[in-house]
Amino acid sequence: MNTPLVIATFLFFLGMLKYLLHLALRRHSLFVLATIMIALGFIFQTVGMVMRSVETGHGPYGNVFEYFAFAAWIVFGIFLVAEGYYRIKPLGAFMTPVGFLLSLIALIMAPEATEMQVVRAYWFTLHRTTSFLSFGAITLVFAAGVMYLIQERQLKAKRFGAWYHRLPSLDILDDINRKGLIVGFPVYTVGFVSAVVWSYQRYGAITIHGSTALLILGWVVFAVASAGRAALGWRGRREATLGILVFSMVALSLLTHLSK
Amino acid sequence: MNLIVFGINHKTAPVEVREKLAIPEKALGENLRLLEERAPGLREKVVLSTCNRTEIYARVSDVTSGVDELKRFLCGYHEVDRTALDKAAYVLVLEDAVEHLFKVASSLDSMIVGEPQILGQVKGAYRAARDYSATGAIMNRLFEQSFNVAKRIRTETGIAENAVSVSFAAVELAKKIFGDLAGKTALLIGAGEMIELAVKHLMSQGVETVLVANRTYDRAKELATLFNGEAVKFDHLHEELKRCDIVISSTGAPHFVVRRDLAEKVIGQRQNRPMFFIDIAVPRDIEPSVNEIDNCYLYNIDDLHQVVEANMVERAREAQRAEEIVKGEVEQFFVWLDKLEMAPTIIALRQNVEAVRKAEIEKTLTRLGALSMEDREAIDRMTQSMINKIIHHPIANLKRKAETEEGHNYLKAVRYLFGLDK
Repeated sequence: MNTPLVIATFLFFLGMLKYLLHLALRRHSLFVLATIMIALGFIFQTVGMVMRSVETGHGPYGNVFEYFAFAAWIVFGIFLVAEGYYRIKPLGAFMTPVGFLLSLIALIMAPEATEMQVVRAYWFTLHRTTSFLSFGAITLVFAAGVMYLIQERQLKAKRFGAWYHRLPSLDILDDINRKGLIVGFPVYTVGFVSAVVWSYQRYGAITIHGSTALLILGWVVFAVASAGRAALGWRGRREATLGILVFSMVALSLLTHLSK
Repeated sequence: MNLIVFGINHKTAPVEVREKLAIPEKALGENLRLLEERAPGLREKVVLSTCNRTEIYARVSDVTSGVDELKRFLCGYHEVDRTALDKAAYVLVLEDAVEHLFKVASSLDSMIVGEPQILGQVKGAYRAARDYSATGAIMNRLFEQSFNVAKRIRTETGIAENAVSVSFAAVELAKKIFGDLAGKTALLIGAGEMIELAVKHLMSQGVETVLVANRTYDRAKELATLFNGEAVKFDHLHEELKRCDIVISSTGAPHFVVRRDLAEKVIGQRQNRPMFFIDIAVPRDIEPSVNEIDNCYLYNIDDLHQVVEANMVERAREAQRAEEIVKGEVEQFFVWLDKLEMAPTIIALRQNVEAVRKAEIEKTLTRLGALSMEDREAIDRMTQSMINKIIHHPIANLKRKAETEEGHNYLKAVRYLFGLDK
């Protein structure tokens, strides 16, 4: 068992709980504690993954256990940067549950899970790293999208309750979506193309199964969202919804790896 | 030693009583001087007078006589009827007095919870008293701490966060939609007091350009100069709308000035950049279904009132959290005060028992008649070590407890049980 990863997951859990409590109670001390927990967890996760890589001699994407630990690491890393940059207090309540689930799945998966023999292939490495990076960006877009839809609903329906007071302005949430698309789409595309190239090199053919189909679908929706924003001036609710859609597809595709 | 607050406020006294007791800022010095003359029982004092309250914070040695002196002074100086004063006045002592001051300073006791003026007024009252040398170490500490409490509550709770007037509610909503209002453009259609107030608030938040449209172009120009904006022709409204992020409408028109199809067209021209419509007119100026268009937000006067009501509820909820902060701060103040009172109490206790011992020895020695020097000294030493042993534990425990929240109760108990305040 990789002890730092266990500690990290426990810290992520505590941090997540504190963010959720902060959303409900709005005690400033809870928010500070939550951020400290997540930051500490991130450090432990980093140590755990470095240890693992030294052990295996390759990057942390050799088997399912490593995928999920790596994905969680990226999600929390992007979360910490986004929280520091945007200072949106409820962000943690929406983003940390995703990261926590990923790290929990990693722990449940045995580290000894079947290793793929191809982990050292150049295209494969490129595919994995870029895919996970874009997954982190998409998770941020997802969290902002959910908050946007809730806040927009409050403002349209003129309900001025807890959500209205807690959530930030629509403008800032739309801005996260926009930046997420700008950064996420090219990275996602590289991840996607490198997967095709790698698959072609290895098998001499492009095979499409469940998870690849979801990734293709995700890419199409991602492309529509990016083009809509750039060319047609789409924004707001429509872009938030598309962002959530992309996230669902990519998350599903990630989960299909579990059945392997 | 006792801390008291004596006063009346908007909750206890009608305006006829409040206006009599109100003291203009300029007269505060004179008031403090007279107070010193006629109510010598008040050791330290601060007089706080606003339109909603007149309160005297004081350190007194005896509560009853202090309050009595105060009442006589107030009736004489302010010509208030004694029965009316008795009915309206409240007296709070020690913890309650300190808690009250902390609440007043942080605007928890105000008519509109969270209003920002009161802190300045408390500071003013304290400064006047300090300049007049009416305060000492205890009052100084108490008031300085009350300013910190107010600051803490302002930053740690949301009691002052949300708008509680209709025109501020419009600004708050605009911020929920646009985030930062810097560089935004607002359009006024029609005129009116509320519209002008809302625009002033919007401009203070960064709204850059103000366009004014009116049925009569001259009136539009007039208003435009007032806001440093530009007047636009009423007939050109259609073309001007696409420049505008915020539209406030208040005309006397019997029909809609902005219809849904127009708003739809404008949003398209704006590449879906959001628009915020505020319709204050009755009958309404903007077709209600505009709110259904994506990225359009339409609020009428009732909606704005609803925001204000919701914010009031939110403030009340935050006020509860603020009261918890106040409780903790009150305890802290008394921990400090106890430490301050500790030394005099211990000295008084020692002097008290020493006086008893001396008197008793005197009595005994005269009764016993001739004793050798050694015997006298032996009796003296024995009684000395007796009382030292008796008061050793009380003093040691008192010192230990002084650091805790209960310290004050122990101090009070010791002073009471040994009759130190007599």
